Amino acid sequence: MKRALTTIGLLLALSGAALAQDVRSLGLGGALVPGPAVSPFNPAYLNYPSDGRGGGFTLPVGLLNFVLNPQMNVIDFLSNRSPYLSNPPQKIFNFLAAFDQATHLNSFILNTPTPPGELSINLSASGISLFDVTNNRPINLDFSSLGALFGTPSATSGVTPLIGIPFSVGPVAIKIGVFANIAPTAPRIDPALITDISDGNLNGTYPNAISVSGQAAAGVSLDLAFSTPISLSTTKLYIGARASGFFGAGYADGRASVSVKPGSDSALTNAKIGYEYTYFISSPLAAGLGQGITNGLGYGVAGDFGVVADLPGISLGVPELEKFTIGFGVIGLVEANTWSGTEIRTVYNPDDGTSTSTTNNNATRGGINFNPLFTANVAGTFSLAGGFRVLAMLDGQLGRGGFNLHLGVEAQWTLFVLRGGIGLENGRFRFGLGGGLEFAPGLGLDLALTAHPTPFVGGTSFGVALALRLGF
Amino acid sequence: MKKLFLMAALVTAFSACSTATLININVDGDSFIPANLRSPPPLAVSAGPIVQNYPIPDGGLALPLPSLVFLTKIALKLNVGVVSSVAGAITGTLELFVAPVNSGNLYDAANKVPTNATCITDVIVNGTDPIAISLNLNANSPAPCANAFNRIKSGQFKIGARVSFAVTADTTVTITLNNFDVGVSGYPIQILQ
Repeated sequence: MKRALTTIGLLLALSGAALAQDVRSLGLGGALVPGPAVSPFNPAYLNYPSDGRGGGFTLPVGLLNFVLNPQMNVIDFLSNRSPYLSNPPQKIFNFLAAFDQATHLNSFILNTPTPPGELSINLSASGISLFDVTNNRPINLDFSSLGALFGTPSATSGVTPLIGIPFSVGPVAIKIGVFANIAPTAPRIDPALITDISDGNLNGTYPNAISVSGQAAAGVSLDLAFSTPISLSTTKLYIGARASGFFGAGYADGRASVSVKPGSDSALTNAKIGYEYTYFISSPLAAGLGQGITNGLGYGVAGDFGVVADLPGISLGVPELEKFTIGFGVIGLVEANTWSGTEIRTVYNPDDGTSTSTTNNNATRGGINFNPLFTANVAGTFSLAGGFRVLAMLDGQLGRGGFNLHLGVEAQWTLFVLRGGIGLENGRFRFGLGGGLEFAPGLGLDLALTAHPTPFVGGTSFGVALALRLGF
Repeated sequence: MKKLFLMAALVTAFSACSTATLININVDGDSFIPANLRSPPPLAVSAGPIVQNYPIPDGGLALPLPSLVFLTKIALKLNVGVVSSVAGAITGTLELFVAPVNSGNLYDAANKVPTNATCITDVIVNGTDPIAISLNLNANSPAPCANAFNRIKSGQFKIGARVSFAVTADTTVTITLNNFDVGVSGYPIQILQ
């Protein structure tokens, strides 16, 4: 029983990274619904009224599979193993399905994957490969599936307060916060090395066989946002501007890489392994760490701007159109931050076994960035005959190395809601399909279809996500 | 490094299966023997018996296998090519030895997988034919073969082969280890038993 609880605890911990996506947004294929939720991209939405839908608590419905699916019953497997170990087995535990479900707990997977009946692990001095004997096909040594176990938080531009104290003075919203950002990346293994190991063909060198990096920053932040509605005859205009500043208490980043140089017989067993690591520390108190590190300093400012207009449909000559919304926002229009501190670089050379270390007390990070993200969105709310209300949305985002486009539609009839959408995110299509029930404003539940690549064996796992809104 | 990849591959493999998945671990044994030992230079020999051990010296080869308590079957394949400069001058046998990893002498007669047991047959070679052994071991094999099975199952073993032949005339002989495969099969879940 204790073991079962440990397992459930572990599964819950794994789900942490997966619960972020809003189920309404999932059903709309990622389309942006006008409201305060868009304010990170457009500060004019800070004072825009919310329609009361979306958000809510995403339930870890995937846990149900561990009870309902007899091949995934962890508690039975751990507490009563003998039926699984008998020959022939009376019961089967499906690790592949359990792994897939445990890494996607916000979705109840409908088509749990079937593992091969016979699997070969082929091992030689220069390689490892996996082969699915049942289906007569190789299985990729895709370590990214294992990366899902560790989560891969992405480095975020700007500063997100950990704890913020928001207060408003008229149209001015002020938020004083303490921030602490940690952005590690999962270790990356050179794909060429993995391919060559699978083929048993280690030729050449792999200077970045394994690389890992991460950064952490902490300090105090101050956000000043100005957002106000202005009525111009029938049009309602919202404008917003936000200035964020921070003073840093500490910043550290580091990266490390391991190099592999196979021996002349191209055997992995005779390979020479080298490594190097670099780290940078900036803090007014850093000298206390010793190691030749001196005190450093960090500060920064950023500016965002946005505008939203609500136009009544009558003025556009469309009687069914209640409201037409158009918004434009840009974040990071001005962004400057600087950290000064100490950088230490250590290199180990496997050829002569020496390790050299260099210290630079005048190293800096940051600078003045022009790295804006532009967001444009339009939405129309229609009242149709028969009591149907339809919300149609279109948005596009450009900047920071990406281009996203979304189109979403949400239809409501009495308490039933149906929604769907299509998105293009950095060249990849995504689709959304969902529904929900609106019992009262703010009280309802949302469902959405989910899809993700099945680990190891390929294909797509489809599932259903569920969120509950209690409205208080 | 090697262990890291082995571990990652094993975790990958086990995450991709169920308790009912039969797992085969196939080790390409000859790749762990340096090329210069797989095909040593030709030997000039005079008439009489000759014994050649693989690998050289007599330490044997310890393969990177985990403890295999779950094992149900072991497949061994060995292929040695013997080429003589004088046709028809050789008669030879190929023998397999499996010893505990701490054994002082792998090629001790006690460690021989016996040739008179039904699990293995000697192959006689004349001229340039390769000599090959292909055998399957399991817990129900005759006792001496079952010993070899249990040593491999423990994961702590050394393995080697010996080619012995008699030449009837002075000749030059080249012995090459063409292929050496070890395959083990089982249900890893049985570790929990």
